[in-house]
This record gives sequence, structure tokens and C-alpha cells, in this order.
Amino acid sequence: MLRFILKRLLMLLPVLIGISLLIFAIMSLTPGDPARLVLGSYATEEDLNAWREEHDLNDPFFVRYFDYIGDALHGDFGNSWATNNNVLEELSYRIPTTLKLTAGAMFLMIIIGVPVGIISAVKQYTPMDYITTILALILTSIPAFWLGLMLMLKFSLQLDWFPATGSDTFKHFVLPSVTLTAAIMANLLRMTRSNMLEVIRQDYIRTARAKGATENRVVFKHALRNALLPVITIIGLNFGNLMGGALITETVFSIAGVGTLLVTAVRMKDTPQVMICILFIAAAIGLINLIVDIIYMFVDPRLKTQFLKAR
Amino acid sequence: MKSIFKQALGLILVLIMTCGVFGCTSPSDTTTAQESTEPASGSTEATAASDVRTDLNFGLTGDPQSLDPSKTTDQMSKAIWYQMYDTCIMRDNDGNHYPGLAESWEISEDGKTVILHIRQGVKFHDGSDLTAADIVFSLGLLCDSPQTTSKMVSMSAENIFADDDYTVRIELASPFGAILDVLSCDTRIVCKSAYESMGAEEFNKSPVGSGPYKFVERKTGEKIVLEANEDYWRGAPTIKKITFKIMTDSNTAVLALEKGELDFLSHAPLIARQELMDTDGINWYETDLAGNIYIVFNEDSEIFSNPLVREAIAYAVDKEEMVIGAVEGNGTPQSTMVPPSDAGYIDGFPDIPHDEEKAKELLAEAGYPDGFSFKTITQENATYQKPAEVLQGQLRKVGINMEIEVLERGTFNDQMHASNFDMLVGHWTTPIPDGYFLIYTLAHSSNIGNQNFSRINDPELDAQLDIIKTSVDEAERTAAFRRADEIIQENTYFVPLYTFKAACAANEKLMGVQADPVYKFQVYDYYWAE
Repeated sequence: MLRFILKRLLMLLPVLIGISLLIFAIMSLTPGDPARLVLGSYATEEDLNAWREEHDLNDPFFVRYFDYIGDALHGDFGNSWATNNNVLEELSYRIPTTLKLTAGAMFLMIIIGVPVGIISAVKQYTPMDYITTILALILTSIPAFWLGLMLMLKFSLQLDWFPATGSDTFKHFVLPSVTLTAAIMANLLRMTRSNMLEVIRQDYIRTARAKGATENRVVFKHALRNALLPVITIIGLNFGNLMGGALITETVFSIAGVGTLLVTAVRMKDTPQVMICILFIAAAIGLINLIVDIIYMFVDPRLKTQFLKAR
Repeated sequence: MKSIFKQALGLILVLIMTCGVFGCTSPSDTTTAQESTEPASGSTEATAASDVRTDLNFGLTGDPQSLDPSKTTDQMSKAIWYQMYDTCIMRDNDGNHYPGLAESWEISEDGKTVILHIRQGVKFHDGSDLTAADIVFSLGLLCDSPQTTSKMVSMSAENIFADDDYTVRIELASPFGAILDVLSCDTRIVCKSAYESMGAEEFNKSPVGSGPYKFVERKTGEKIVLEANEDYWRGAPTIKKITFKIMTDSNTAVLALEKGELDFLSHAPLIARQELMDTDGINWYETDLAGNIYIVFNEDSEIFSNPLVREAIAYAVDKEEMVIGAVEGNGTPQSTMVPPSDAGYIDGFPDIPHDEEKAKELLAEAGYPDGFSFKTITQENATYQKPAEVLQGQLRKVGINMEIEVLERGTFNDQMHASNFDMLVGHWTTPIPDGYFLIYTLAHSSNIGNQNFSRINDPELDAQLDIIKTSVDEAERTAAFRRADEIIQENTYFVPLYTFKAACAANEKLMGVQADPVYKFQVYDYYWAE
């Protein structure tokens, strides 16, 4: 098991290096002079050149990239061009907030998406199924920034149940988590429903029913265990969507997380800050997928056997 | 049990969905708009009653880049500096200067030496005394920094030194008409000993100034907290604690203000003007911005190097319609480049009338009887894009087909600074409300390759701009501003379009609030009504 985890972690390294090269290239090769953005409209050409020189922007692309990677491997990810703060420090302030938001959204996604998907499948072609299917379709279609504002208007401004902005208490995370999870939860709901439907039609379910098992036993003992396997993968993959969605949600709810940090950095063409944010998100997604794979092995006896055999 | 569970789940989902439908209703109905309130003193008397609030939640629509006044130029950072640092001289909204850290000042007859007599007994937030050395150090930091505002000092100062502990001497390379404005706006004084002992990076994290508020804490991207400096030399402020809350989404900031999570919103979005005016308990404040929207031509362009074409465009533009189309009527058409809120504005300067027939005649005379086509650039920002779109429609009426290419901010800036355009709609704000910072910067030939994007090289105009820069005689400066406006109009170097509103919105019980053309909000002047 340890070897498997180590192997997977090592495989993450080339992925991260590939991503770093891609982002570095995008930041460097797209138009827009960071010197001008940082120094402002009154800066003269001399000032701009001095700034570029100071930040090694006059060096060739690959020299700059390998310098960056070299420093990064020593733990030095540089200082923000815009604020001059250490980018790693800046990121570390923001991570807990984003993790709280993502965890909240994931929690809602699982506790609502999976059971409602199951009910919808078990009660196929009933009003309950129609309602949830239509709701899922609507939730998938609503843009997060609009849903966020609407939730704020209703539950914060009018009903005064939750605060509109900030991230100090549990209450602050309710509306952002709902906003962040809405579309993804709907997606999970639909996936759970279709998986469940597929499993429910299998022969062994008919056999279980034929031998006189109760409906609850058929659904929870026989059908659910098999239907959940692909759902776990989807939950893992959706973590990436949640991290990406956090960009918009954090901006709408004025939450100081990794998303807002990244958005501000991109606007300023602040390469060191953008790089560390994207690398963090990529690493987080990689790790979550690793965890999902490990869980998968425990949940699916076939995989566990394969793994044990291979060992 | 199972059915209850199902019902609960269904209810949650329905709730989430229906909020969208109900959420569209507006929470308020009455109008409480006003232009500006009476100025208020910063004295402590106002807090006699115990139930009067002494804290303030100040909304900022961006995260300040730096708390070190020599390190950046962004307006969000300045909102914090205004509370934490003092200037040598102070300036009111009418342009009058009065003593700040400098009790008095003298300008030599040749205008090249400024002597500041520094107030004694002023203490920094760390308890150390403020002396001339701190002023020299702070101005030196600004001169050495490549950032925008600092240029104002460094472009003029040749030598800054302390004659004694409480006298600062600034020697200028040439007389500088706006020197008092420069010393009263963004030239903020920091504590030399704290800065030197901490270094720039640490100072940014725990800055030390002498202003009415002291730094307490910062959570980047979230909030900055300041507390009252009870030993402030002008008397302790009435508001005891300011929490700057960062809300990068302006819709959210407006909502937070309506909900009471914010008491004051700087840079209030003009699009929310009516909504906030209609909201109970919120006051809207606005004034003309120290900046403008204008058409800029590239003098090296094949088409627009022809003055007749430029003049035709000036006649083709309908500025009234532009103000309605681009800023929903919240602006003022301009006949000069210098906006009304800047020193150097010439009131009643005649404008070129809107006359499409005349425009067509001029185009025919210039050799384009059937008009022409060209491409302009703009940036993905309503301030630039909307007037460009309105202009597109207006030019079409005289046969000019203008294609618009929308670029992101960085690319647009690059193209503009490289004069890589034929004609575009530009926007300029001055960090200090003096027209010098606008027309000298944009039109003096010495700035070709920098901010003179049009590449204007007119010795007659240069001569007037030089007077504007160096003269300390107000009448002489005004005459030069008038003549410069005339030269710009005669040659149609620019077509000034309009200026729009600089706005803020606040809880109606917060007194002393005033809109400001450069968003210079001083919480020291605010207090809560009982």
C-alpha cells in the first residue's frame, strides 16, 4: 500500500512540472506588460526597464523558467510582483478558508446529491423523480455568480438568516457552500440516479427480490454498494470543479481564499502568485484523486484482490 | 421515517431554487439622495452619549497592494494611507492649503526652494518624535521609487535635506506650480527609525505613521483594522476603530452596505446609484471625478494625422447623447481636457457643437467624401468600452465605420503606451486634482514615448504647458491653461468627451462624509449621529 501511495505521489511530480511550464508559458507569452500594470500609468520607460531588469524579465523564457523551478525546489517561490509579499506565506493564509468552503460544499454535495439520486432512481417515473430531475437540470444551468447574489438577497438581506459576506464563523460559509455546490451537486445527483438505475435492472437484483428480500435490503445492501463505486470517482473528480468554482464563489461572497487571490493575481499578471496558486490547486486535486483511488480499493473487493495479487 | 427524510430533502432543494425567484424583490422604497453633507470636525465631543457607535466598517472594492506609501499607486492602498499617515501640508476640497505636519512654509522668489517648518511635539504611533529627518527620509523614499505618485516629487525635486531638526529644505530643478498640491496629497510621511529597523517588507506588514489611526492587523484579501491614535496632534478622532473590509465584487459590496455589514462604501459603483438612493438609511454622495473620458488621436496615423479628419470627428460627436449612453446620464459633457474638479479648469470654455453635416463636409474636404473604415482598441471595462460603443454609432452616421477590438487591460495598456493605434477612447484620472497632471502628462513633447500616446509635438503648446508646470503665479497659470485649451481645440489634438461621478455611499447616520474627486476620504472627519 505504501509503495502504491509513494508511486502515485512521485507520478504527481511530472504532472506539477508540466502544469508549471504551461502556466509559466501562458503568463510569459500572452500580451500585457506586468511592469506597466505594477508601476502604473505615470511610470516612464526607464522605470519600466529597471523594474523588468530587477525581476529578470529581460532574460530568455527558459532561463527564467528554470530559475523559477530551481528556486521553487529550494522552497523559494518568490515574492508577489504586485504586493511584494512572500507568495507562499500569502497562499498559506488563504488555504484554510478555501478548504473550509470546499469541504462545506462537498459535504452538501454528498448528503444531498447521493440520497436524492437514489430516491429518484428507486422511485423512477414518480412525481418525486420528475421534480428532482427538473431541479437538477435547473441547478446545473444557473450560473454561480447569479445564484450567489440571489441567495444573498433572500437569505441575507431580506430574511437576515445568514451574513452576506466574510468568513469568520460557520454561518458565513452556508450561503457560499450552497452556491458552490449547487451545479456540482445536481451533477452528482444525476450520476447517482443513472448508476442506480443501471444496477437496479441487473439480474442479481431480480434474484434478490425473487428470494423475498425486503425492498430496503435490496436497495441498500445489494444495489447501493455497486452503484456507489462510480459515484466515488465522480466525487473525487468534482473536487477539481469545486476548487475551480471557488474562484467565482469567493469573489461573489468576498471571501479571502485561494480563488480571490488567484483572480487578483491574474489581473495584475503577477506570475509568482499565479504559479503558486495553480500549483496548489493542481496538487490538491492530485492528492484528492489519490485518496479516492485508495478508498476505491477498500470499497471494491475486485480491485483489492487485484492489488493484493499484484503485490 | 423514510418519507419524512424524502420530504426534508425535497424542501431543501425547493428552498434553494425558490430563493432565486423571491430574491428579485427590492427591499426599500424611499429616496434619500444628496450631493454632499456639511463638513464636520474631528473632535471627540460627539461621542458623549454611550449608545453612539464609535466603530466604522469601511468597504473597499479591492485589496490594497501596499501599506507602504512609497510602494504603490493604487487607490485602495491610498484609502488606508489617508488614515494612517500625515502630509506636510493639507488641502481642502476648494484647493486651499493649510498647515499639516509643516506649521508654515516659504517658497523662494525664484520658486526653486521650498522651506517647510515642521511642527514640534508630533509623535509617531510607536511613540518616537517626528522630526525633519523623517520628512527628508519619506520624501527620499518617494523620489527613489518608480511608482506613479512618487514621480510627482522626483520629477521636480533635486535635493531634499534638513536644515535643522524642524526645518526641511526642498530644492527644485525648476519652479513647480503644483508643489504645494504634491506635498498635500500622496506624499505621506513614515517613521524613519521604524522603516530602517524593520526594512521595507516588514514595514509593509506593521506600518508606523503619525496619522489619526494606528495599524492593528491585516488579513490579506479580507480586512485591515486600524484604531484611533489617542495622542494625535490634531486631537483624538471620534471614530475609534476602522475595519476596512475587502469586497472585490461591487454588487456584493452594495448588498453588504444595504444589510449594514458596511457603514461606508468607497468607490460606490455608479450602476447602483439609483438603488442606493432608494434604500432607507443609506446616503449617496457624488462629485465630479478628477479625470475625464476623451478621444485621443495618433498624430502618426495615416488618417488621423490630417487635422480636418480630427475636426470632423469633433463635430460628429454628440456628447450629451454620449453621457446618457455611456454613463446613464451621470456625467458632464466636457469642452476642455481639464475637468471641473481640477485646478486649471476654465469654466465656460466654448465647445465644438454637434453638427453632422459639418462633419461630412470636413471629411469630404479631407478627401474622404464616402467616409472610411478603421479599427480602434478598447479594454474590457465599461469605463472604456461603453463610450467606444456609443462613439461607434455616432461615427457611423457621418460615414465612418469604426471596428472595435476589445482587449484585456494589460494588452490595451501595452498598445496604448506603444502608440499602436489610430484613434481610441481614453480615460485619465489625476492623483492630485490639478490639471497639470493631465494635460502636461498627455500632451507635452517631452513625454513622447511615455504618456504622450498621441505623439503631439507642438512647440506652442509646449510653451504653455511649461508655464503651467513652472509658474507659481495663479493668474499666469490660468491664462496658460486657457491658451493650452485653445491650442488643443484649434488643432483637435484631443476631443474631450465627459467627466463622470466619483461616488461613495454611507449609512445615513454617519456624519461628516463628503464625496471627493480623487476618493480621498478622511475618516478623522466622520462621526456618528446620536
